[in-house]
Amino acid sequence: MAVDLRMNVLIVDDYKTMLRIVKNLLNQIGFTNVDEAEDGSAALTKIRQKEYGLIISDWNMQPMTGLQLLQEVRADPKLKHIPFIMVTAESKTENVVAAKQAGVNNYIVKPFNAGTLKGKIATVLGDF
Amino acid sequence: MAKPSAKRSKAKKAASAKNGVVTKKAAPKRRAMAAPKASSLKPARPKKAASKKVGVRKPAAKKPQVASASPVHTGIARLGLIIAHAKRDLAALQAQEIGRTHLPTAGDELSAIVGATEAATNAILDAVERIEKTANTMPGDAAAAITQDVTAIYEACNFQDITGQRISKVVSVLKEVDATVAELLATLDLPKVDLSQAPALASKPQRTGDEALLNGPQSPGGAPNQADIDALFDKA
Repeated sequence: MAVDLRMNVLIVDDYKTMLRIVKNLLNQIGFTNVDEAEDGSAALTKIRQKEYGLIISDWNMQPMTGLQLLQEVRADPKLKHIPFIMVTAESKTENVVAAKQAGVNNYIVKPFNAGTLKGKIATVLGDF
Repeated sequence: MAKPSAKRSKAKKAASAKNGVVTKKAAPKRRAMAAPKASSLKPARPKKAASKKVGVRKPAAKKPQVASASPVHTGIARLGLIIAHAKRDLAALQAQEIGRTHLPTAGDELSAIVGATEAATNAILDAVERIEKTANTMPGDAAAAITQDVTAIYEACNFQDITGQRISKVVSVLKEVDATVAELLATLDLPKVDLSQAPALASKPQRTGDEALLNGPQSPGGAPNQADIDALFDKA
């Protein structure tokens, strides 16, 4: 099934430049409705107000980390179905394991390229 | 065959014993309890008991009793000396100055790097986004080629996030060192150093001539901007 490029996508990162980069890359792929949040708690507020088809989140943020956001999303029956991709510089095995145990759908290590981003999204959502 | 000097010594001892003179081991001196010399931080070696003539034997009750220093006492005295030396050396290093100025300055410099790279990355992204918009108005092949390069620039701009995180790590390490130095200073209760009178750190050679003018980029905030520089030129 082809991905609906009109779905709402939320990207979460405390670096504004990363938000811009990921948003531009998503726009290049074809996603037109991309929102941004600068930490986990701001993201959670948005997720509870609007229906999102995909969350792409950094890990290392304050006050709420990407892992905490993931745990909150997976613990909420109304939100737990939302596909969640972690995009982070935290590349230790224990990080990946922890994210997987918390229910992450995929994991991208920074720095990444457009092909990796598109490939992981396709793995999670289906072919474009 | 015994040497003549040895023979003389043996004969002397025998004579002494005959005359009521005894040879005994000297009691350890009280000085052993005191701090060892500043230059000596090596573990104490037990001194060899020296033979000493103490003259004609007298009743033991009249002779003052001298307590011998145990290895524990000597060790404690030595530790006290080491701490005293560490305090003196730290005071000489102007440790207050390290905590007060050098570490915060290093942290500020690193934070400024993060700020500068972020500003530069945003400027690059501004330009690239404009190029991408323009490319979208161009014919197919040209647009595709430009978009490919634009994507490569987006990917390269990842560096800002990575370097920013690495530098933030270093800043937090510096803060830890700063806190540890402050803790150490408080624990050792170092004498206050009048920094206005204190010489520069020994490890920091005085720069002269052109070299003294090389201070690198200034931290944002207090540094003069281009308008300030222009104003200086206008005055001249």
